Parts: sequence; C-alpha cells; structure tokens
Amino acid sequence: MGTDAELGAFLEQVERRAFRMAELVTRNPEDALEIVQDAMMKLVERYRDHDSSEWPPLFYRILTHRLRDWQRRRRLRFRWLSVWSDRREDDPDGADPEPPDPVDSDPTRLLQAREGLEALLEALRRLPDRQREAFMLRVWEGLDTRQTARAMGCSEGSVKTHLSRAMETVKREVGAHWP
Amino acid sequence: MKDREFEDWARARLEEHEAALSAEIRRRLRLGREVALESSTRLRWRLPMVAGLATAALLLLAVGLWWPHSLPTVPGEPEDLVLLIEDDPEFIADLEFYEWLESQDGTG
Repeated sequence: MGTDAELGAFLEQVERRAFRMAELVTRNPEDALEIVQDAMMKLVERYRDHDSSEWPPLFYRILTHRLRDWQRRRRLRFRWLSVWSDRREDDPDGADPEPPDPVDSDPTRLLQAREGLEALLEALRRLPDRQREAFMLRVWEGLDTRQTARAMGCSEGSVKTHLSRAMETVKREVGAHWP
Repeated sequence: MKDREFEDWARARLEEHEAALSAEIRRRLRLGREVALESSTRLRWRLPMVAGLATAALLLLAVGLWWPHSLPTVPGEPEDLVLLIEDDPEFIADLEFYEWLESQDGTG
C-alpha cells in the first residue's frame, strides 16, 4: 500500500505529462487543467490505498475516460449547434458557431511546420483516439503493454494493434521533420 | 526509420514540450494536486468519525429511551448527550470508566 507522500510524489511526477496529453485533445488549457485535477481527485479518493505500482494504469484510465467523456459532450454540443445553425441559416444576424471538426484539415499546415514537435503534435492530434492513447501511454509515459491495456480498458492485443497503426501513421506524417 | 529510434526521437520532443510548460500552468497543477490530496484526507478522517458519532448517538438514544436504567446517570436531555459526544468523541469509549469512577465515589 502506498503512503500519502508516495501518492503526492506520483501525482507530481505525472501531472505535467497528463496536462499535455489533455491539452492535445482539448486544445484548451482550462479544460485540460480541469480534467487533470478531476483525475487526480478521483485517484486519491478511490485508489489511494492501492499498491503504488497500480497507480499509473489507474490514473491514466481515469484520465482517458475523462477525456473521452469530454469529447462526447463536445460532439453532442456541436451537433446541437449544427442543428441550431441549420435552422438559422437564413438569419443574417445568426451567430456563426465553431466548426465541429477539431482537427485542422489544412493539408499545407503540416508541411509548413518548422519544428519536429509541431509536426509530431499535429500528427498525434490527427490520430484516432485509441491510437493516440496507445502511442502516448506506451511511448511517452512508458507504460508496458499490460499496464497500457489496463489504462485503456482493452486487451493487450488491441494495444499492440493500435500502437502499430499509430507508429506507422505518425512516422509517415512527421517523416520530413525527423532528422 | 526504425521504430526504436523514432520512439526515442518522439519521446525527446514530447519531453521538451512538457518542460516548456509555463510557470502559471505548473503552479495551477501543483495547487490542483494539493487540493486533491488535502480534500481526500479531510474526507477520509471525517467520514468514519461522523458516521461513528451518529451511530453511537443513535444507539445511546435508543437504549436510553427504551431502557432508561441501562445507562449510568447522565445529566440532561438526550440532545445534550449528542452535543457531549460531538465535543468529546472519546466520551463513549470512556463511559465504563466514568461508571467505575462513580462507583468508587460511593464506596471510597
């Protein structure tokens, strides 16, 4: 069983990466901060008495669920906005809602990216959610396949498949920026 | 391009990205962590205590109402007992001691 000091140290160790992961999905620092804090609260409330070796997959599982929930709510909101917009399209004073697709679809953007990081982040944003999760947890966070499967709530085989596809896509997209 | 080399390159870029976080975001993350740890600690200590106090008070009230002579003499109304327990949670645990003390006063 981990101690409170160990739990604090664990959260300190993961909070910045967790924020960057959340920001990659939300593209909004305020939403990302809220999601990360919520994940920290839930880990502490529910799993503080678990063995400290269980915290990484549990924390990222909570974070992953919160991000999926955020995306679901966002899609729903845009769906309603889209319906509202259709009904008001003849209204010259009608507000112009944000486009529903969070991905920048401009094909020249990637080519114009000057730094590898920008290209990498852009490639990660374009990935399907599960592939991005597998890439971030395995490559960045360094979880092993079993821990990643637990964090994502899927089988180890699925993790390998998602990671393989993610690697293939990301390498292809940032290829020109990789030294 | 080998996977391992690409992974190392990607990890290095992402770590640079992490290191570039602003002081303000770091401060708010630290604050969020502290709030998470503190609020949970308060909750963890309060819940059993409140539940324990409530259970003990209800039990004593029930026993007192249905079997008034089962308890050592406690001055005042049942509500006073609740207040007494709230002020001194260890009172319940020490009841036997008070009873013994009272008996000593009578004999000593």
